[in-house]
Order: sequence, then structure tokens, then C-alpha cells
Amino acid sequence: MSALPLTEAINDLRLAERRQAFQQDPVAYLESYGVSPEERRLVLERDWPGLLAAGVNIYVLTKLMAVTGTSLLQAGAAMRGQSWEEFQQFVSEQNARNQRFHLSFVAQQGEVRGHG
Amino acid sequence: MARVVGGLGCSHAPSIAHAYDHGMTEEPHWRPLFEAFRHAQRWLLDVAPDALVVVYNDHVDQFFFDCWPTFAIGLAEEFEVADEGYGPRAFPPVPGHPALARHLASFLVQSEGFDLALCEKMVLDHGVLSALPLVDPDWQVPVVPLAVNVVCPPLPTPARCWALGQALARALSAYPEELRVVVVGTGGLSHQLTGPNFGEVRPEWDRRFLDLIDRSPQELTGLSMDDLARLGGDHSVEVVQWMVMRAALPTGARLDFQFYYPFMIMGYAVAGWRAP
Repeated sequence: MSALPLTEAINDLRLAERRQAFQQDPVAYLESYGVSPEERRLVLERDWPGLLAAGVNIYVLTKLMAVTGTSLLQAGAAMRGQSWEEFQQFVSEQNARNQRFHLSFVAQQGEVRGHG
Repeated sequence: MARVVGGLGCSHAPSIAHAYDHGMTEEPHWRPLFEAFRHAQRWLLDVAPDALVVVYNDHVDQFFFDCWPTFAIGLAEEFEVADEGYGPRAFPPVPGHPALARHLASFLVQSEGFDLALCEKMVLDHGVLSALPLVDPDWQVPVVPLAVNVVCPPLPTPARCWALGQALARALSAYPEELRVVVVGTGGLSHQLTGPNFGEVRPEWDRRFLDLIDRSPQELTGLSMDDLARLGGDHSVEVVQWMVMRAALPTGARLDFQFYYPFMIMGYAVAGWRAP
């Protein structure tokens, strides 16, 4: 997997002492994993779509979001090419549209609906 | 013999953990979901299992791309709570059930032909920890974690996951001790975490999935992972973990409750089945 050094560098941010090292000197931290200059730029610029295109898994990127104080929703807005306000509008409309699909079922005592 | 007395399916999104840790569970938008989990908690107390087999997926907190198992079982006495970037959540280690886990591993590998990876040490992330504090707050019930690969291609097929659930049922019935077991399947439902469709929820499919997983679950074995991704979003394929759980339930298991709540970027669901 070609993005392995970049993936490892970002995924290790789930460890407290690695987060500290990254925060102290992000360039040195990334260089120590053998991350290329172009990949370094993606990290330092928080280029979420670029990092995904470079082959970093979303569940790895969440660790970079954690250390940079970015929420998944904020990164998601960037992926959609939307401003934060536009994204909130999308979510709000989706919530409203989906209200009719809410389900709350509790079987009555003695009600039999068994199947194999 | 161990008996599957119930099955629980529930979402495991980190948003659940975040709302829980930040005291948001009573807010109007979150309350329906946490009421559903409270119902599941009461239900679990009533079902009174001696052990849980929790079928979930890791999110690159335990496993890494250097060596990713298709299926993995946790054999340890206890499991550490993962640090997913915000510091480990304030829970004690999750208690395991080594005797049950070792029996399941042996039976699945040697009698059922499932090539499980064996974990003497395992860190549990939100795949287990989003839901567990809500349904078993005081860690009363020991857990056997069973991780499914839905992260590192090639992924197991839905049909293979269904077969794992059936094999799990046979493995449990061969356990030499009387034990009440609830199988939990976490993950889903619809969500899309990357690309221009980030945030889309598919409620029509989610409702269809909930109907199928109850009334006609084997229909789902005809779908591919690509089908599941197309229907529910790339990251919704976790629903195979619900399939493992459902396949482990005995004939005649009845749906006790089912909640579906599409909110923000996730189709949240919580559902419980009880054995006859």
C-alpha cells in the first residue's frame, strides 16, 4: 500500500506521546516516518480531499482531525465543496426530509411475531 | 451448553460516544436515540445474559494495514479502551470471557472452517465502546469481541458473514457450560463519510434493511459488499455485523423492539430479538 508511511504517521496520532511530538514539530514528525514533501503539504494544509485522494483511510484521518481540532462534519463540508453554512443547510434539510422515516416499535407482551 | 437468548443490533457511531461524554443525551435532537438505548438497557437486564459476543469492526485502532485479519476474536481477560485521538475514554478495561472465547475460537477454526485471527491482547474502540456503556453501564456482563474486516480490502462477503453467525450458533451450543449469551452486532446503518456525497443518509434503504434483517435475513446474503455500499453508503457495509448476529439467533427468535432515527449524517438504529 503506497500510502503506508503517510497512513502510519497519521494513525500514530491516536497515541498521546505521538500527538505531543506532532504538535511540537509537525515537519520533523512527518519526516521521521518518511512522508514525502507533497504528502507533508497535504497534512500541514489539512487538505482532507487531498489526503483521501492520496490513499489515507477516513478512519485514519479522524486522528488528524482530533489533534487539529477539526470535526468530521467540518472536513465533510470540505469534501462536499461546501461552506460550513451550506453544509449545515444540507443537514437541516435532510433531517426534516427524513423525519417521516422514524420508527419506534416495541412488541406487546404476548405478541408473537416469531420467524426463523 | 451455551444458549443464545437474544440478539441486539445497534449503531456504534463515535457521535454517540461524543454525545454521552459531553452530557448531550437529553438534548431534544439526541433524546430519541438515547431513549432507544435506554430501552435496550432495560431489555438486556430482563434478558439477563451471562456473556455477550460483540460482533463489530475496528476502525484502525487495534488493527493496521500491515496485517489486517478478516475475522478476529478477543481471548483476553480484559480489553483496554482505545485512545482514538482524544485520550482514552474514562472507562475501566472491558471484562472478557477467556474460557468462552477460547472455546469459540477452537470450534470455529477446527470444526467450522473459519480461519480466525486469535488476539491475546485487543484494544476496543467505538465499534464496541459507543454502545456498551449505554446497554451495560457497569460492565456487569463479560464480552467476547469478534471483529469483522470492513476496512481493508478485500472484505469478506455478506454471505460469509451470515455463515459465520450460523457457525457461531453451533459453536455456542457446543460450549460445555450452561451460559445465557446475547449476541450483539454493531455498526450502521446508512452513512457516507467521504467524497461529494459525504453526510448522505438513506432512510428508505435503512427501513428496508430493518425489515429484511428481521423477516427475511437470508435475502441479504444475495447482496455483495458493493451492493451494500451502493444502497447505504460506502461505510454502511458494517451492517454485515448485524447479519452475523441475526444468523446466530435460533429459529423462532422474535423482534422485541426496533428503533430507527435518521439524524445528521447517520441512520441510527437499535433493535432487539429474543429467543423463544
